[in-house]
Amino acid sequence: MSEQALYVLMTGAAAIMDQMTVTANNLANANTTAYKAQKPTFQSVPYVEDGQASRAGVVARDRTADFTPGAIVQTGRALDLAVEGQGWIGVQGADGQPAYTRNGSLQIGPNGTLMTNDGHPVLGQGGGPISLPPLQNITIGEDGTISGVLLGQDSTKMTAFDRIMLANPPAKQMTRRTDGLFADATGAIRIDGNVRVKSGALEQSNVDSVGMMMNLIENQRMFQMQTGLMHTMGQMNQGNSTVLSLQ
Amino acid sequence: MIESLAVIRSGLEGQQTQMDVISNNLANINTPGFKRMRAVFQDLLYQNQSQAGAFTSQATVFPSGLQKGTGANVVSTEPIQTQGSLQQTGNALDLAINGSGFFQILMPTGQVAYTRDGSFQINAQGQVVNALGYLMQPPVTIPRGALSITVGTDGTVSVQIANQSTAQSVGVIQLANFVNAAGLQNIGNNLATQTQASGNPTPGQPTFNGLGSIAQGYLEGSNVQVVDEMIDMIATQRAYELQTQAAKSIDGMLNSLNAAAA
Repeated sequence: MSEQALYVLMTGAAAIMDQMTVTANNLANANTTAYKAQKPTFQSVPYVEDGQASRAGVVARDRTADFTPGAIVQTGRALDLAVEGQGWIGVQGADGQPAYTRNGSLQIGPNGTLMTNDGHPVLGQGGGPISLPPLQNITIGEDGTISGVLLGQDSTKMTAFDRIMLANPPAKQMTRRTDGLFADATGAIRIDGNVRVKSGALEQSNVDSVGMMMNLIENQRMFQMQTGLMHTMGQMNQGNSTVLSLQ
Repeated sequence: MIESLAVIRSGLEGQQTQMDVISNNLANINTPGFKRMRAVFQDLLYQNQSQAGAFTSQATVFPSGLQKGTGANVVSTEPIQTQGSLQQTGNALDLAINGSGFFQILMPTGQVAYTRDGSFQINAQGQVVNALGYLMQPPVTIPRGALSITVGTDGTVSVQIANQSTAQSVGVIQLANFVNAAGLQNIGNNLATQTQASGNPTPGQPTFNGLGSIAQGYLEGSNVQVVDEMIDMIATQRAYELQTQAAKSIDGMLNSLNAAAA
């Protein structure tokens, strides 16, 4: 019997270790622009024998992300965008699929492609990457409209170019891709003209340091409880073998 | 099992890089034309431990999966190309660019480097050189016996020669512009070289074609703001502390696991 208890404890300890990895990942990304914290949770897995659930193990799961907006910090850089309130910036993943991010630290590539600082091309309203001619005085409006003066022209000749794809899919459909970008699980693109961006600012990571600290303590104590019980089980087993050897 | 330690390690290394960047910014607070750098963090790949939407039975699916993140890293340190404040020096060959553009400097290797540092001098041949003695491109030579040097906002250099009634034009300073100035590669000594990311330079005369104007007798200070750097430093230090705390907690867990096995 105690072996079974040991295995139940093992699933508990392993799940807590998994949670610790999630917490560690959140803490490691405390300074990642517009990072959305992972939300860890546990799920019980009942063991059913002879139609009866005699005991339950546990596995760690996560609910993709905590979508609370992070704090907005002024940077003064024209190509830094912060999404105000809800909404996402449409980008193209390395696999060519549309994906979303709230990291609006943009740059212009050598051939004029507007991309995020990790190299994902930003999508325009039309669904394709945005290619810009050499510009000076580049400005991004609050609805994502990019305007600027062509290099070599009079600075009064402001021209509007493409508009950045701003979308607002429901949070419950958003899944985190393995590259850290988000995707709409339904695959639909939901452009929303009401999403607002703020130029010259960036959204900070939304990792709640205090909560993470509490998580660390809680995880550690829970883990100690599991290992403490494992120890007790070990002693009970030892007790059993002593009784048996007495006979 | 120790993957959480590896994750924390990536975070600590990132914070350390951030601190290095901040130190470099603060160290260059008085460097003319210096542009503050910013460490750009990125989350690393995620591993799908169990997939959300996987079938739990023929009719039901897991509402959520388990994704394990593998930490954070610094993808780039990008220079923030905002204008630094212009500081008056009164020196005739201290030139500041008010607006966009870079001075072009010919390095001894024959390659052209770009800088916002406009503290120029004259060498023994009368050529305008930077603090290291590298020639300005295209070269401007100040004739012997010049009483005063005037640099116009459009880069025209003229000198007043003794016993002459009118000023004599001796050349025009040209600036270079880049599509992506943040992509220039800093090589030290206030110089940067073009890369594939920055694109090719577009040279031109100051005040034309979107280039900035030249302010004679001024130097462009660095755009480092002490307050910003201090705040960043505090945030970085606290993040570092939290992460070392996490490493300690993980260590504590492993320790109690060892104790259970004893």
